[in-house]
Amino acid sequence: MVNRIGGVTATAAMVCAAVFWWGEASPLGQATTTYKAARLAGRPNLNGIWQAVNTANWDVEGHSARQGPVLALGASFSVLPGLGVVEGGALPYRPEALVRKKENAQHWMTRDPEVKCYMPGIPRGTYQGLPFQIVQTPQDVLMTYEFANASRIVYMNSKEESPSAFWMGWSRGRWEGETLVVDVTGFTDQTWFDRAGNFHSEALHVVERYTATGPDHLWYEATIEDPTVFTRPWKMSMPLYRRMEKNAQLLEYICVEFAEDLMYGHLSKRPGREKK
Amino acid sequence: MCGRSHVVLGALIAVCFGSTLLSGQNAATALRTPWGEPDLQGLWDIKTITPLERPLALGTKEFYTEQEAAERERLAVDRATDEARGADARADVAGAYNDFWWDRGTKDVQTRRTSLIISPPNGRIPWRPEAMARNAERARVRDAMLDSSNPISTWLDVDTGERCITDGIPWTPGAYNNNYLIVQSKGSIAILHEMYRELRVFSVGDRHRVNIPQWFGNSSARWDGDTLVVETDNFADKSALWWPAAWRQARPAYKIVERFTRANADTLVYEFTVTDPTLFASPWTAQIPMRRTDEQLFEYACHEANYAMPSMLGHKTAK
Repeated sequence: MVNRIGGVTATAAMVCAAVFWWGEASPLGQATTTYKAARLAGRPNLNGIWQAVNTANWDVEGHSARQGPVLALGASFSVLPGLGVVEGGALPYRPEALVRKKENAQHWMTRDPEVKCYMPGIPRGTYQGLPFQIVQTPQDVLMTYEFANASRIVYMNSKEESPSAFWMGWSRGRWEGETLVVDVTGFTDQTWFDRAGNFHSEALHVVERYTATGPDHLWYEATIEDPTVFTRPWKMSMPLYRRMEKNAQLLEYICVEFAEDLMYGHLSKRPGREKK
Repeated sequence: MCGRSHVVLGALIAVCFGSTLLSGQNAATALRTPWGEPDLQGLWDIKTITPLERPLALGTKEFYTEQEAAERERLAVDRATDEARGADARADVAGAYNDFWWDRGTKDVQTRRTSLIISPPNGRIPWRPEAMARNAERARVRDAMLDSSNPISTWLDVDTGERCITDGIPWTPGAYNNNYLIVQSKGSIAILHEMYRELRVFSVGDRHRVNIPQWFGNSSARWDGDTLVVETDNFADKSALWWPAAWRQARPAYKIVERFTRANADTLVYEFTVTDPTLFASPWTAQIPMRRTDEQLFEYACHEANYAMPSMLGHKTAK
């Protein structure tokens, strides 16, 4: 692509400039458009099993390590530190929303939908720590997540507004050059961004951008807009890595059975684990 | 595309007019993905009033007459009303919802076959006698439990479907959420079932078998001519749980082979063969037409909205 406007030297210079600018200007990095992905029906082929390698599911903002909630699990299941994935520092909460965020954090274990095996929503499904798969066809794109068997259909070039509220939102996609842009609306107010109590309302509007930066890497960006909770739109970004195992596949994580005792145990009239 | 040749045009005509199952096999050759695989993509609906098993009273009768099928369909339309009530209070309450919630269909399969099971010839599941006896005993225990003053003591007294996990595979027509979305990319095929949002992704041609027992087993998929063949085994042992139908509970001895064939533009034939020497005297096979639908498939947040579970567990027995 770059070759068209110049020689190899120019290309190299631009790549270097891009890398230099990337390193300087944005500590979180940014998709370079110099990589041209393999094609599927003329579009970048994003098929594959992808996974974020970060601790954003603990807290999308930067955070230090801290004691986990289950003392008996000590160092094995304490909170891992993270650089954060939010561009530009703290989330721009409205004052009253910040109060609720802090309450959420305090009551995390009883309030976090993840604990109950509820669908993670978008963008949380992307960085929940489990792989997700993109099945891309020339028409539409299906994204499927290991957690809670969640999935969503990305309707390409659709003008149809969300007919209802959905845990995984209502996704409409389009191609902008090398980038798959997914516009997600139609959310419930039931999902969170992380285990730190970061939340949103039904007014959530997410614009995701998936760009291949190499054969085995995607650059992921999500712009979050929710005027009832935040004073301005904000953005998170992170690399996604292809799962390279020869037999890579999504496995079952049917977590309902791991949440039932927690959710219904207090209503049971005999121990639930009893085998019949 | 239509104008490229008379052959293609002929194929399209056949697609449009081929009506009986599998009669459009030749036409199906025109339905291919850009990379040359048979194209199974679309949103497919399997609802029908044809039962999995042939009612015993029908004996060896393999097909309904046109008149019989018309009468069955008329009755199905009559039943599909908000005014329908159970035979008695218990049946009515067990029905749980009025008809607004159901989407069972009102049509028999096009062949007017009396059962979805095509083999053995009696259209019935060939249970081993000892398995049949065990089913009867389980049913007796369950009925006694449901009739007791403490019908549901824990969530494990509720079947896997009501727990929003699964009814099991292979798939058969149900009371609602009979939609299946198939998308295909080079080398992989994903099938999203609206019920419990069950999703299976098959890597075609590659034996990506792993030795990990799962609720949905481990599948491998391949093309056999224009038919997608999916073999699944290595199911987790979940046989201690209550399942909506005992024949498809996940258990180690269970093996299924599913075959998907694009019969024509509007029909995909779904056929499965079930094997389990511990339960069945022989393998058996069912065939279910999947019809293209213009409806949409939506997210089914079953567990997320399973208010019935705490209600059932917290109930007080009605006097």
